[in-house]
Amino acid sequence: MTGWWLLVAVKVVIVAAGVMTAAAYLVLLERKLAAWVQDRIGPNRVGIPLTRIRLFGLGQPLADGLKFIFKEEFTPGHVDRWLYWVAPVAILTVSLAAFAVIPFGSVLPSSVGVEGEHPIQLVVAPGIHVGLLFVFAMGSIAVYGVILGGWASNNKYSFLGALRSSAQLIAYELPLGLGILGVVATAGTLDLQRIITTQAETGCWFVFTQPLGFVVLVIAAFAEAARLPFDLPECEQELVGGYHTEYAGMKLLLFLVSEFLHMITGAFLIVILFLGGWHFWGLTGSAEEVGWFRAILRVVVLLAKVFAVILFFQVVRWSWPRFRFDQLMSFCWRVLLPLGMVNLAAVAVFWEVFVSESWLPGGRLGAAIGGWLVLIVSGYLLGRARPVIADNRPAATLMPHDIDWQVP
Amino acid sequence: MSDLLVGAAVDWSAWIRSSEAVAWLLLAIGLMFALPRTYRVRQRVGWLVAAVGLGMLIGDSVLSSTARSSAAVFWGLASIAVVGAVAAVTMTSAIYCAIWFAFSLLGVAALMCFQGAEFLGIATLVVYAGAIVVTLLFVLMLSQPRGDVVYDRLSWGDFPRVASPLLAIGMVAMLTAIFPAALAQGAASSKGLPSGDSVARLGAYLFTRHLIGVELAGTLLLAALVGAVAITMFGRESVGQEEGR
Repeated sequence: MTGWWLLVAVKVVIVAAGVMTAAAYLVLLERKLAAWVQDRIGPNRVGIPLTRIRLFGLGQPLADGLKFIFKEEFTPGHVDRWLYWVAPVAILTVSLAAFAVIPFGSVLPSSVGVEGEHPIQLVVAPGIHVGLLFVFAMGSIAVYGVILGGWASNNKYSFLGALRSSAQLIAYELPLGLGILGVVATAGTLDLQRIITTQAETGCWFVFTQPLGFVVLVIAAFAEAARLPFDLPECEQELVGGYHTEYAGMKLLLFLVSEFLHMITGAFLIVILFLGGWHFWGLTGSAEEVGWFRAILRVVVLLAKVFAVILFFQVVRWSWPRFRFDQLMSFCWRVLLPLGMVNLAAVAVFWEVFVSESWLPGGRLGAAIGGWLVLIVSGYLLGRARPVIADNRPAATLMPHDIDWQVP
Repeated sequence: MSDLLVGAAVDWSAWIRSSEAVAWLLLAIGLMFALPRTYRVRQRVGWLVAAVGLGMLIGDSVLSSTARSSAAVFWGLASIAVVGAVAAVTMTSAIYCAIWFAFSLLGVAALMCFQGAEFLGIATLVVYAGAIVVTLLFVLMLSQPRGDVVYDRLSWGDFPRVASPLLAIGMVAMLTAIFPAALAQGAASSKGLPSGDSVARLGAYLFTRHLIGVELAGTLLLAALVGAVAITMFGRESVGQEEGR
């Protein structure tokens, strides 16, 4: 029993500390990337403290953290004190809690098993059969942090940010769920480890058989993490700082960190559900029991994939302009939702026809070809239908029929 | 279910004199005083009395239980649910009510997970979290802040304010007195259930035994969706006609 507690404690510490450190250094990466995109140099001064060694600015996250911690904790007089305090704590708690069910590797060999000779599962809470649903639940609780923060601040800008955020998150949960449903239906489980194992055993990542679901999931994950094309809850040009305008110091840090954690969670979900998790052809194998080399290799592969997806998130942030709010909403309800349903129907049909009943020859290859055909056809049809309003002329120059057409 | 309850006989005359009954009574009286009215002092007294009652209940059950640690976890989660529920009906600010309701549901979901119903617990969280967020938005947009107006602050009527806590607590108390025996029978009859991935079995059960119910519910929801779309479309048409005139 003591061994079990020790194991859980070690895993919790590794995941929490690892994720927080990763978040800090991803901020540095993001700033460097922003500088590269905007033809600047970026943070390059802070290196090892008390020396003159700069080390490419690698000390910057430390300096940022220290600054946040020692900044004055100013609480404005007009806020609702309880909720003002609860909001950042709640949002950070749930964003960290989501990592309880996210595997960061496969298993460690049984030679280090604490309890008897069982291999150690590389996930904080192994054996939760509804891990995917748990991540969802934590994501939907995180909305409370945003709403409470915006409301407790007692500030119009904060409140607008909170309202936008809640509308956006509730709307985009639907396409997120639809994108995931295809994978859940074909893998037959909600357990993240087993979803990876399914992909590893067949060697066929779900991105190949369900490309449309992948596209829907990635876009919805961007929206859930409120990353740039969808960062209306806190767009600086309109809302000062959005729902955390009135926050400073440590509390602001909690909000910012949990935003980053959402992005990391999203990247993990994308990799685990569609990009094969820790699996790579010819490198990692798919067996339940592995030696040390394979076990470490699986962790490295998984983290490398997650890093690549996060890099994609960040490049997109500095490449795309922001949506307008009506565009955001019509994009969700008129584009992503139908696409998600088409994907689910197509996946069900192709899976039944080619793989599980094999009425037609082709197996997974047939399902993959069908999936790509559906992606191309639905993309073409959407392009013809143009459901997203892209007219950005100021309202004064519009004719009345233009305005009628714009109201969704 | 009903045959389970028939099988469980409780000695009510002994129960009414036990400390458990006193604890329930304290809880009811506390809740009665805690319900919002114009004097806030009495509300604090009510919370205190209710807390004492709840503490007595928890202490009694944990100390008398054979598996103390699991009983302590159960009562910890249960008290989260109960405290959240009491606070949800006694707070004077509408937004605090919604938040405490969410907190109470967190406790309920945790209880379900603790009893092994993982899917049910987490699905509760997903469904209700979204639903309460929407409620919260309506509260934020429609109500007065901080319960500054009288009609937000008073609970409705003198008689219901006295009768409803007594009735509710009485019902819960009797069920709690009956259930241990019934649960023991239920546990004995459900020994043979296989463990493992409960989601797949739940899905199979829903889509074989209750297929018609699931389909009916789905059709109903679809009808509601189409109805909502129809209402908004017709509404816009009439607005356009009025503007045209």
